[in-house]
This record gives sequence, C-alpha cells and structure tokens, in this order.
Amino acid sequence: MTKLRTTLTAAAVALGMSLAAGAAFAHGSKMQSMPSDGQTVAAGTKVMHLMFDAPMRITRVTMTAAKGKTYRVNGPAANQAVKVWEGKLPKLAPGKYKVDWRGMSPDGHPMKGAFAFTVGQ
Amino acid sequence: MGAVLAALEPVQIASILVKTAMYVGALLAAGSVINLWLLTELDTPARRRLRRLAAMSAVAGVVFGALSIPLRAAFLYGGFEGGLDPVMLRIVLFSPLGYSVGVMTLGLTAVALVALDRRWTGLIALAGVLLVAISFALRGHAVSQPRALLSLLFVVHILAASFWIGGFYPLHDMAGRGTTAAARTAERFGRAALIMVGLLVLAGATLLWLLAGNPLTALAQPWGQSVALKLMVVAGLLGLAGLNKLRLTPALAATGDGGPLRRSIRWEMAVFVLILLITASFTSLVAPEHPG
Repeated sequence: MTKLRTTLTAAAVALGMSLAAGAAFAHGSKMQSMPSDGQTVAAGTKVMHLMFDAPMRITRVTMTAAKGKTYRVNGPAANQAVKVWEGKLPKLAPGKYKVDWRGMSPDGHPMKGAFAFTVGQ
Repeated sequence: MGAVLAALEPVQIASILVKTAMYVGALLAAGSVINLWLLTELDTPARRRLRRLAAMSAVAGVVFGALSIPLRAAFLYGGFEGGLDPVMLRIVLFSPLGYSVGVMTLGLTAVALVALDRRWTGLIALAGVLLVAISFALRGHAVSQPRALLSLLFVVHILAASFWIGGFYPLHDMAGRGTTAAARTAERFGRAALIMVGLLVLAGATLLWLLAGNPLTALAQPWGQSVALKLMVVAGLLGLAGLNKLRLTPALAATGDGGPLRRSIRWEMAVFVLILLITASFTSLVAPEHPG
C-alpha cells in the first residue's frame, strides 16, 4: 500500500511538471512583435517592438544569432509597464535570429515568449 | 512526456514544487484551526497534536511563501541568479504575488499562535485563517473581473479546501483509538463535509464558468485540459470521501476498528496533494508562448 502511494506521488510529480510545461493559459496579454515571427528584415533595422493589449513589465529580452552569440536587447526599464516595448537592436549581420522575452502581465502572471526573424543580405 | 519534461527550466520545476509545498502548508495550517474549532469531540492529546501541526504547517507555509518571491524574480530574470537581483525582487514584491504572500504571512503568523492554547490565541488564529483565504484572492485569476465575485468565490473555495485537508490528521489520529469519541468525531466531520465540500465544488464550478466560459472551447486548450484532469482527480477524492462517510465511519462506530478508515484517509491525503500539485502547475509561473 505504501509503495503504491509512493508510486502515485512520483507519478503526480511527473504529471504536474508535464502539465506545467505544456500549459498555455487564458490569463495574460496577447502579443505581437515587429519584426514578426518568420519575417525577413533589412540589414539596417535598428529597433524591435513587442506589442501587448495590456501594459506589461518586460523584464528581459535576449536575442540569439544562428552562430550562438547572444545579445541583451535594452528597452524601457523592467519596472515600467508598457503596451509597446521598444528595444534597440545592435548592428545585425545577415542571418537568423531568435528573440526570447520575459515579463509580467497586469494580473501578476509571469509571461515568456519567443519568436525568430531573418536579416536579409 | 520526456520531451516535455526536458523543456522545463529548473526555475520552473523549483517554483512548482515550492508552490505546492506552500499550498500544503497554508491550507493545512488554516484547516487545522478550522477543525480545532469544529471537532469538539477531539480529546486533549488530539487537540494538542493538532495545534502543534497547525503551528508547524504555518511556519512551513511562511517559509515556502517567502521562497516563491526570489523564485519568481529568478524566472523574470531568466536564471536563478535573478533571485537576488534587487530590481526583479522589487518588481515581484510590489506585484499581486508579493501582496498575497505578505497577507498570507500575516495570516499564518496569527494561525501559529494557536500553539499557545489560550482563548485569545484561538480567536486570533481564526482571524488568521480568514487572512490566509483572502491572500489567495489577491493574486492570479482572482484579480480579474468581476473581481468582487471572483475574490469571494476564491475565499470560499480556499476555506472549504482547508477544512478538508485539515480534517485528515485529527480524524486519522482519533480513528486509531477506536473509541466512541473517535466515531462521533468522524460523524461530525462527515456532516460538516456535506456542507463544506458542497461549497468547495459550487465555488470551484462557478469559478470555472466565470474564467473559462464555454467548457467545450476551454477543453480545446491546455488550460482547460489541465482543469479537466484536476476535476477527474477531484472526482476520485469525492469517491474516497463518500466511502469514508457511508461505509468506513459506520464500521468504526460498529466495530471500534479504525484501521480501514485510517488507510482510506492516508489515500485521501495522497490524492489531495496530487490535486494541489496539479493546481500549482497550471496556475504557476509557467508562461504561455505567444506567436510573434
């Protein structure tokens, strides 16, 4: 009986974790980005935007180049809630880039997301 | 499942486990006080042990609640080092989570006073129970609209859940004695449970309806599927509770053998923790992935 309960508990932990990983919840804000996911932009692109339907505190934005180099993208302060977050991009070489962001929605839920874009020749 | 598990960040795993532990601590502390007040047939040793459990659970709730602050900061920062970042910590402290943990800490401190066993500490502990329940209405979905109704429903849901989890230990304790007092305690808990579990289910169902809207649409989303899984486990828990009330409690009264009831209560405790783990997972700091 004890063994069964231990097995159940272990299964519960695994189940809970898997639910957490796959969850996409009803709370929080809808987000759009510029560049959008999959878009190809010109080499001279200097800024990126994250746009939400409610003010968000964006706490961290990083950009990773195809070769693995990671940049921190700076924008409005993390304690400032904004609907449009504008980040300054470094000079970008042609290639693919992945952007990861984290923040907190107005109801306090932590949020994260990712998208990718390509810098053309 | 392996791929899904592999995708989890260590900060997320830690956050879910800490949140589950915080749920257990806070609900057990509040529920122990509720049952101290409700189960008048508990004998002196059982009351003493229950007061001690309330105090220990309260301390655990405070510790795990406090740990959730740097863990949230770490998530926002993107690594454990963010747990010490002053900017991230300030953001979390002045967020709904920070306010909720503050109120919960106050409530659990009041609950812990029940260990002193004075009349005035009992009253303060009951006020603490209310504060603990209110703290759950200061975060997450509870701060959505219609806020007043959602908050009320969350408070009722938490109070009823606390009553339930808080009843396990004293019932298990008393059932071991096999006395008439033990049978009367189990019967009284069963009568109160009819009302409290009814409130728990009613509040939970109304919350679901308000938050999810169309259940069929919700079921198409991972959030709705997570809730459905929780409801299935809750159904199992209700089955065990029904077995206890309709079969095992009368058997204890008739034979004085509390063994089967104690075994069933241990199962109930395990299933309850599973429900809290599922809840901690789908209400946790895991963020939705947004398309660009």
